[in-house]
Amino acid sequence: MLEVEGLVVGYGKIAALMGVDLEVGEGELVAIIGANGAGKSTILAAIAGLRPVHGGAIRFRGRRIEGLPSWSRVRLGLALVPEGGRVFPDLSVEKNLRLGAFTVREPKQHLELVFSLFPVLQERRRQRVGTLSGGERQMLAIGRALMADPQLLLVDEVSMGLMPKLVPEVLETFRRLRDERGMSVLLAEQNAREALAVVDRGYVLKNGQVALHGSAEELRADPQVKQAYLGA
Amino acid sequence: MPIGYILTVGTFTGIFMILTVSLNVLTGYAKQVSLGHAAFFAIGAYASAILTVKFGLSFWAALPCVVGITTLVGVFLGLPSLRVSHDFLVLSTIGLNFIVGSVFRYFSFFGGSMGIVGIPMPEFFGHPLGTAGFFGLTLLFVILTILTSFYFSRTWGRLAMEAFGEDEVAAKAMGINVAKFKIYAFAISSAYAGIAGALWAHYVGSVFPDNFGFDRSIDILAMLVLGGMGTIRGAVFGALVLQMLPEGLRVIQNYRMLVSGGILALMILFQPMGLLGRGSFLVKGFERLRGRLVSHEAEDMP
Repeated sequence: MLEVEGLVVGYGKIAALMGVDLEVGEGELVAIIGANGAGKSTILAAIAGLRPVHGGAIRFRGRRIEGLPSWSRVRLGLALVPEGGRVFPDLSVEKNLRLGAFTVREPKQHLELVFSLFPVLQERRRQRVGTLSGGERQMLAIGRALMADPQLLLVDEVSMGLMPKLVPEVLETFRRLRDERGMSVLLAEQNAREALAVVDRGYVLKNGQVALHGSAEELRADPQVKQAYLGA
Repeated sequence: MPIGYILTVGTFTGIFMILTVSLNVLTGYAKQVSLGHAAFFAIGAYASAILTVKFGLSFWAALPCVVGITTLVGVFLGLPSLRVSHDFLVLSTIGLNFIVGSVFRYFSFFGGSMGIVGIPMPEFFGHPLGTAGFFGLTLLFVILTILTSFYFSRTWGRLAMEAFGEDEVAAKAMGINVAKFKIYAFAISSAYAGIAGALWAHYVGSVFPDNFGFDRSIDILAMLVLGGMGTIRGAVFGALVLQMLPEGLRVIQNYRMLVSGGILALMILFQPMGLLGRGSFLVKGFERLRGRLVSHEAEDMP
């Protein structure tokens, strides 16, 4: 589904990513974990087309996409849940969702899917988003990305700003999306413990490079990961 | 008060309503703050003046050309907005006033500082329009502008513009082609301003570079900000107030820039959404009043 090869991205003269290789298979849940500033968000931004790529290749469903503008990547089936949600506080829940379906001709059925995943959004569909709780906003951000009918969902730091008890619940929805709709999901997540509890595979990012990768069990059992990210 | 005077004030007010509604598309919806709207206004006025005076076209034949020219100019002048952030866009739009003004002043084709005179009144079935007729024509264009702009406000285009105006990253993540819609905003806004310019040129009968300076751009933005950015009602109301006020209070006329600049600064500080914009104290007050009436009814229910 997604293959990233030797990805190099820089901010000015500083290289944020120095040759990252990464893969997400069809219907696979994958997490990128790592400390703050390791480059997790940069990978997602580069895949979504929000950051110019300085080297390497990004292939999505067999097609090179690193040169395409962000809007055409959404049309190909890639959607990003940006860090912090970035929902529109002055618009209603429903308008936010409709904006998510900007590239889709028939948004009705996607709206139903989103409401079945997050019933609370249906209850508040006419409410101004500024009045929602942090958790509801994060659900809305996920719902908005789903409105674009993606095959691969990129999720940037969804656990940030969520109440701890909501984190597993929200992560569980990605599993549901995979099981029910065959969607692939790539998470960038600081909360390694919760992320590794749901995903199939993971990449550990350190200073802009992949330090380690493997199945979730392997990573959970790895002494280095345990010490550095799981706080064991 | 003679009727001719009232009609003249009405005509100018109408022209400025078209300008504020057009700026609302660019600055209200797409959040591309422009301090150079008078440049688009000027290009419309000069285009119509040259086409009628130098090429002998009628007002009606020139108008579609004017709209075409100003649309293209809008696209062209909108291109820099793709490269600069909001703050720098404001600076570059200020520059527009001076670039366009200089071109009109220093190239003899545009009449230089002598301007272009003898611009004919539009004819209607062979008769030139009078003051009343021209007021009717302006009113017609005001209504057309409001209707088409209202139609646009209900399309995806407006939603897209508001989305990237609010948060460009989020808009891009949703697959909105931000560059395309920014250019659309400039093109639409400039086309309307071109019509306003043509009306102005034919009503006044002459155009000079000084008619369309930086202070004009400030006036137009002040009207929109006073009325309420992002709403058509606000744009119309702002033009009405700031165009009529100096007529009622002659003193203000001498301090026009002070009034426009002061209103702009005060509104941005204390009521950024304007008097009739979303969330302004007037609109909130009205909604509270309506809410109270409704909830009183609800309380009566057992």
